[in-house]
Amino acid sequence: MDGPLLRAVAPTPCVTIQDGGRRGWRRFGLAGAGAMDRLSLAVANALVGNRATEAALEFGYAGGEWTVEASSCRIAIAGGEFAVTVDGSPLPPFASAVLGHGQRLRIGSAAQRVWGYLAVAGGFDIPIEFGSRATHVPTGVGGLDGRAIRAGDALRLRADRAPNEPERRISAPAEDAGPCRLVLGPQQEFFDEHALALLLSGEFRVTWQQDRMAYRLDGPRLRHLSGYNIISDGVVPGCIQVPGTGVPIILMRDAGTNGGYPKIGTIIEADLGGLAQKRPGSTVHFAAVSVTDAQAARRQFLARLQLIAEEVASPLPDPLT
Amino acid sequence: MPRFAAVGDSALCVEFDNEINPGVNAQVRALDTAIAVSNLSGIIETVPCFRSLLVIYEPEEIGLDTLIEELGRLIHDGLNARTTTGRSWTVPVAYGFPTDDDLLEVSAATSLSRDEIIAIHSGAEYHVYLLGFVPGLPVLGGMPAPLHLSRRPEPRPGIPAGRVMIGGMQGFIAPMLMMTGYYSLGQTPLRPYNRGATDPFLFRPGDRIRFRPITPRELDALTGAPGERFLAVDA
Repeated sequence: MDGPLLRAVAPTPCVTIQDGGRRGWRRFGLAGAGAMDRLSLAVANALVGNRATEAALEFGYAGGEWTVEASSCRIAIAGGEFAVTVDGSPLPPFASAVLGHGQRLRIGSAAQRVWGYLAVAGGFDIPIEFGSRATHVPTGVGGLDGRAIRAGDALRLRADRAPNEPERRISAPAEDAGPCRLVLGPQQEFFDEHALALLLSGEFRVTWQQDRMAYRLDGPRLRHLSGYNIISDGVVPGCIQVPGTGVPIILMRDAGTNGGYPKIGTIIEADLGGLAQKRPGSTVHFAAVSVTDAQAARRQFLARLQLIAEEVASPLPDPLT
Repeated sequence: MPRFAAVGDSALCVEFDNEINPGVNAQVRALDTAIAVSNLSGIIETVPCFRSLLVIYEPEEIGLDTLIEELGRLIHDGLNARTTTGRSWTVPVAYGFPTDDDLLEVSAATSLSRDEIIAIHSGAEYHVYLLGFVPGLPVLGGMPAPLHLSRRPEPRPGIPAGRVMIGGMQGFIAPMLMMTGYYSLGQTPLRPYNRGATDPFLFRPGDRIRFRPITPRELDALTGAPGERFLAVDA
């Protein structure tokens, strides 16, 4: 008899195991990967009593169908108000629930959001590779054999039954209303005042060219002063590369470790998850902040990830009864 | 002094001269080593590139100004003394394995014969500038000018691990199945990336590589041999 499992019955195409990402391996060419929206990962984990960066399933737009092969399993889904049912009955969003053996979980889409997280109490029993369980599909590292989840896959659970705890719920985290903050550079000198002004005053839109590696934006073209080739240097998630077309490309969690286009700015850690959640057609406005302000925002953001567990309220009547 | 440029809220790019050569790259590696052996707190990781070092730091432990000041001090104290010399590798290559297709394309682009391409490619010493693009991939500089050629207009998928590639003014050895616009000259039994091994990455920036032609039969015999076997014995 296999141990406790979550079985993928009909997963959507881009479901991967993600956590807080890996650090320390970029010098070998290995990207950090990790959750596109770290706040939502922390929320899903808090709802099932896990630490903020525990590995969970990340899905794009919808999660598909899953079933529990364990005596019971507590789950929670965060990221947006995804349409979730258990054996056909709807589950309220941003709340935990216990599924019994054989129950079917179906995760549909959310009105406005992109990335969702399915966390299980106790976490997934997935080996750590290069210090993290995060999947980096482009290089086949981490997660379930370095790839996206396929129909029939069995994800081993650490807990063989749901912990005997009350269910938890949380109010949907407020969406970022303000502009997406960035620190200018490291190659803003490749652009003239006009391009910099356009970056900070123009209206950009997220396009369908969005995935875990990069988001291509539509909007005013950012012209270079002269060339657009630099000697390739190190990049981090959030870097805004501007290739010859003048169309900005935001590097996301799975982006490679170096790049050869000038980077006009770098989106701050606190705002990258909010940008990741924007659907094609959504507008984006940028605002430049100082490194000091960016670091203060980062401090608040990281503190919030740790404190989110205190925002969950309990108990909640069992939504399945 | 190099140029310092903030990259978002927790990274700093330290940029030496704006050119690709082993001397500039040695400065990058020297600063990388100096940081590693210093007791500087708050450094999360460093990423050496052609002529720049990306320093990823924890701003709660070290402020940007302090970091720049400390790095300036390390540089001022003299990096050259700390420069590490890389290792030398002799990498066997079955040129034209499994087919001559790419060699013929390189031949057409460079007006060199198959034998000339092999002689020139295996006659030079290459410098590992950085590991990047995919895990463990050594980016090789020092490509002889007659072998400089434009990359393919479109990258081609399905290049397997161990292919010895050239493109632009550079070369690399494929660490895993990948997509690239470079041309394949042949196959080596070496694997730059061994997933699951204790030390999964064979090369380091600063290493030097020479290629040695072998037959397909030798390729077969050497496949699976430990990477250390191909370390050259330095005089």
